[in-house]
Amino acid sequence: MKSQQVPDTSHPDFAAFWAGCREHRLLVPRCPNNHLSWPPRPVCPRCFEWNQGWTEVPGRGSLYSWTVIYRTRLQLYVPSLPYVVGMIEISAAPPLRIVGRCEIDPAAVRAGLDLVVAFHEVRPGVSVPFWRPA
Amino acid sequence: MTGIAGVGQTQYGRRSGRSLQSLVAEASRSAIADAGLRPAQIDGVIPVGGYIYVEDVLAGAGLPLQVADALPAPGGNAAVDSLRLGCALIGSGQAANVLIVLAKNGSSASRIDDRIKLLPGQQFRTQLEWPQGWSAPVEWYAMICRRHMVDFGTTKDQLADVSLAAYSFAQQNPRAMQHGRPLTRAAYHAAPMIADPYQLYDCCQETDGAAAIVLSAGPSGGDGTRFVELLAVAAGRPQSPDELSNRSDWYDIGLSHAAPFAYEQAGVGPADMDGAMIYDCFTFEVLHQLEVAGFCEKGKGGPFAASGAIGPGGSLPVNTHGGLLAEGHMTGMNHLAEAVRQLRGEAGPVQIEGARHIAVTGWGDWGDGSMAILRSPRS
Repeated sequence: MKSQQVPDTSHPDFAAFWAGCREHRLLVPRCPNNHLSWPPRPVCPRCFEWNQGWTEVPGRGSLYSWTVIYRTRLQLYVPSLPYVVGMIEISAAPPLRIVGRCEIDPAAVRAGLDLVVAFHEVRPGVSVPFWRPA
Repeated sequence: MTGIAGVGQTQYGRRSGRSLQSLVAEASRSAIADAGLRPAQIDGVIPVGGYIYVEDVLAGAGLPLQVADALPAPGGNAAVDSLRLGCALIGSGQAANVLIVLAKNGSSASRIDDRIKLLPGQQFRTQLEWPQGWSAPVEWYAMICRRHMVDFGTTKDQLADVSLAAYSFAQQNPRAMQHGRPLTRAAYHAAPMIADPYQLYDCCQETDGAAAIVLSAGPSGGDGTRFVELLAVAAGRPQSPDELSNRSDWYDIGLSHAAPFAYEQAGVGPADMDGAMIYDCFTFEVLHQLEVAGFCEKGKGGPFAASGAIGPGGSLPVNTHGGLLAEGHMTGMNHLAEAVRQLRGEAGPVQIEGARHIAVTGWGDWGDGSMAILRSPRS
């Protein structure tokens, strides 16, 4: 995987997620009623209780939708053009969809493709997930 | 009887060479004059789009300083939603004649990169999406479109039908940025890829210019034959309104909620519409909104466009000015202006014969949406 933009791992809503990525684990928020949700928000979108913890979900999923990007405003990604960004449906209960860069040949991309997560250390101590065919 | 009394527009192009204040003044004065009003009679102002504020409008249009005002959220929902805010100013007695105006140097100055920084949910954009290389509306909406292709078999050729209809109408409209540049199906398919499945001609223009309307509590003079009644306006938001990944219905958008409400308020339905001005930031968004607004069945937007229904002479002509795709990106203000021309019978070569009702939609950032239903003074 080529360069990926470095996130701010101290952002209060996402710090725990990035801490999980550093250990190569995918964590999602959990509320007191055990609802998992994505993306991370302070409050559960189903029951409006404050999210209080994080749960690891499997680093596997299938490709729900995608785009192949041929032009980008993000300079860091220009050398990677064209590249695939997917909407990956993770096998959690209920299924959660997460946006992720996919290391797939644009010619081979198709709905339902099985994917596994991998992590790219973009800076010492900061890892960003991306996805590969299973 | 609230309605649109006047419309005004500048030229549209890539390099206006003018300030926003100059563009605002021209469109505003033009709309006020078209309404048969004097600037002193304007008592409400709504600046649209996030580029200008009330103070940028007042002096140039020669308005009183003590106007009521409201500020819609930026994004493509703002034009139609301004009608809703204008109705609130009029209905509460704060104003009788509301100037709604948008101006931008969207091509030569504040391009899309700047505008998306104004939208909600920035923490998701910068922290979760940019690190995945996903950063622009064309890339966000391509994701919705691609799944529609998987679920319903929508094709690139059906997206082409949307673009070809817009370019066809634009050839009849000297104001359109793509006037004099007809599009062929072969050229559509041969164009550069932007974010698959979107190619160049699936994307709207970037435009310099201004457009304004006057929303009034009633016709102020004359016989009222140019006063276009606003039967209903409604706005809505989808589930998860600041990002789109986990909606329980992937196709849920603001219009899914606004359209039924607008039809109920107006006492008419989709079958009563003689034409539609659909917010066409990209081609698939037209198909998506045609479905959600009830003009065709869910999943059938592609075949509906391919049938010729939305083009010249079709059963539901869509964006007879050329839309954002081919006239220019006036954030949907140009859709309202075109609806008014159609309902007054002033649409020239693209006039929809006997047009009585037209629906106008808005679509912004993560799919917040709106619908206005306008009625002809001739009906």
